[in-house]
Amino acid sequence: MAFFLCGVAKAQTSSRPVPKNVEHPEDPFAGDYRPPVVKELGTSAGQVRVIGLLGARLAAGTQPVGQGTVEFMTLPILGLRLSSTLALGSEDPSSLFFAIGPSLHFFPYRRLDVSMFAEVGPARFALDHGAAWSPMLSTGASLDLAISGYWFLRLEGHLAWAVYDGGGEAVTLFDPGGTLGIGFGI
Amino acid sequence: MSKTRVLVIGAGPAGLSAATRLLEKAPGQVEVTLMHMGHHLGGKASSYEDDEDYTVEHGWHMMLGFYRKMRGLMGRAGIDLDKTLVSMKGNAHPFEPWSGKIHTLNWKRSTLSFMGHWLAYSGLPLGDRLNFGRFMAQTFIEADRGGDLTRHDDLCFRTWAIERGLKPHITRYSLFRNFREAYFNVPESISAYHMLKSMKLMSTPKRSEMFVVRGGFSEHVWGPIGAYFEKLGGTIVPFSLATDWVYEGRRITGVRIGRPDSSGHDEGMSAWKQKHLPIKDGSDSVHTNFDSVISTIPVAVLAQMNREDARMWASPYFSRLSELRSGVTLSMTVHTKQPWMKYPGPVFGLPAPMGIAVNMTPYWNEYKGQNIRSAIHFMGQEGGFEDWSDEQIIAFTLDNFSGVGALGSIRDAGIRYLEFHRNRSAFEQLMLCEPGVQKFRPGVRTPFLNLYVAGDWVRNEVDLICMEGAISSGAQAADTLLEDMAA
Ligand SMILES: Cc1cc2nc3c(=O)[nH]c(=O)nc-3n(C[C@H](O)[C@H](O)[C@H](O)COP(=O)(O)OP(=O)(O)OC[C@H]3O[C@@H](n4cnc5c(N)ncnc54)[C@H](O)[C@@H]3O)c2cc1C
Repeated sequence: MAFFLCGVAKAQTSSRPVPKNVEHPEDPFAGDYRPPVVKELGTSAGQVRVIGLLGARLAAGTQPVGQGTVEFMTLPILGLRLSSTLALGSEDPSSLFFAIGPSLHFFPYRRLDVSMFAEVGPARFALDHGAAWSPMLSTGASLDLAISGYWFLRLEGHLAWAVYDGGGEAVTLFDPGGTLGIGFGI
Repeated sequence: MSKTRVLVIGAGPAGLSAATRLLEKAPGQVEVTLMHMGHHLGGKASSYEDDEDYTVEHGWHMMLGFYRKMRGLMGRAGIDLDKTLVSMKGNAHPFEPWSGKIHTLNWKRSTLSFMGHWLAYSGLPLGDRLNFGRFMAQTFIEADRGGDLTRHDDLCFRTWAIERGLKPHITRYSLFRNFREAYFNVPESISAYHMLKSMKLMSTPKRSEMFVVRGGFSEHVWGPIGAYFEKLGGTIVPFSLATDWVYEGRRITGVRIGRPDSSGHDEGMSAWKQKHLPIKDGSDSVHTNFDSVISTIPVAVLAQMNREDARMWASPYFSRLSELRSGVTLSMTVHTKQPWMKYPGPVFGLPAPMGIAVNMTPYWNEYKGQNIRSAIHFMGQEGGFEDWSDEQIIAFTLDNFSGVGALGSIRDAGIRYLEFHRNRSAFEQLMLCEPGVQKFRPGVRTPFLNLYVAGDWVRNEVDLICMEGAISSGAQAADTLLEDMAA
């Protein structure tokens, strides 16, 4: 009895005929199999945007700078920026700047987007008598032009402000600058 | 002291789990009868070997690495897990219509090695791969961080994903579509909660490893568990179809049962044709020999019991149950004379209605030496194809393969045997995990003080529509009943 109850009784099965040349309606899901096309542009929530920029700062003449920015979009309009800027010219007083801060995007999901940001972080100042670290604040605006679903061009302008120890006396720095670069948003 | 008589209705994973748990935890205190309408144990998860040793499947079943409760039950029943379960070695093969190819994903080793593998994965263009990879990493973290994931239940997973920056076009890849397909939820949407819970449970390669059994689940898994239950002192009563509850006040006093009329069942064909099974004339009676009942009857069947009782179905508890919808699954087994589709893991993303195919030749090794070079099992759901005949669905599926990757026509491989199941009967249907469904799923207690419910559709610790969920729910029902007995 248990043998049977436990389901080991052998059932008889037979193959059903293999249907051929059967007429049938249209595949209701045919549209689902068309190759997907990337149409989405601009910022969206959850996106991570990695941007490399080159440009100039104007505090001590025109000094070339390189900048790397990672932007995490928490909402389609609100990002968290992490950037680091490296002075490529020896005259620039702030040689290295790490910053974190929010960005506000005005035109998410669009080919052309404008955003504003404010960042704060430590900056390293190269001085004659050695290097000094001091907090620096930077605010600015960016213009993004999406060139595909993933790639975009960025034009950025900013004004950085810091007060640092210039060998015993407080030095105030206003450092305007601009960069142009390319970004990839995933 | 007299024993408490417990009637467990249904011998699927939930019923077997509840019944054995009662006897394991309260030996000498309970007398357990397991009553079910069929003869094979395992319910929707049954598959068995026929007179020629071919495995008959109403729908392919695999176990995942996180099925701890199921493994535990199997182990206690004396099943040698190492001999019975075979790993698919982390392989899965998405077919992507955009490339026309079948690609390979392997998640066998570490999460880190999978990330490397993902970067080189050919199934998605690079940008999409990075976006999808970023989204999945974020999702696994969000799912794992804990908190009440049910707060995501009202959204469908697609919307949830897009809200988190997955590019909408990516949701059209097979890889994404499979989230719904794996739960037979096409063309419906799947709840974000259900997907997040799945990801939480499958968060490592070990927890998501797929295992199949060598041959039928009924012989290798459910049968031995049934025998274990009998060894513990339980009684199994087959061919008893419960049709109605008999109650007085808030207690169930009887269950109306009859012998199912199997004349509508056609082997090798569409399984049962009727949505609700008839009972043989003159076979009905009222079973009263119990103190408490654990019902593991699927919700689509339960929702038809006591249908004339308008007052019962208007009550808040039962009217909520009516909101739960179930879907019809399809399955087909094809044996070929020539080898065909030699992929070691499931191939998915194939055109609907049967979008998943698995080559079971290496696993169902009872077939060795039987002149079968490939045993392919197909699965899917009827949604969108309700008006098509069986022949149309079968022919369409077979023909579709000519356009898939480099497989070539399955017809040319010489079809030796073909079996098709259209699981239309209510007891075969699977609950749809649609957005917003959680608030309608009940817990194990019911308004009847001596009636408990269990099954994959009842809320439980695992909560997914799968064997592990059903086993978890069965165990929870048994524990609750024992708690109430002790109180
Ligand atoms: C095609 C398909 C593929 C699947 N693949 C997987 C997979 O790969 N992995 C996985 O984990 N899960 C899978 N599942 C899900 C899994 O099968 C179910 O979640 C599981 O079987 C649910 O168990 P249960 O005990 O809750 O219900 P069931 O398995 O439905 O068991 C219910 C029991 O109640 C009995 N019954 C029904 N009505 C009555 C009645 N009126 N009177 C008396 N008895 C009755 C039935 O005969 C049965 O014994 C799949 C399901 C399907 C349909």
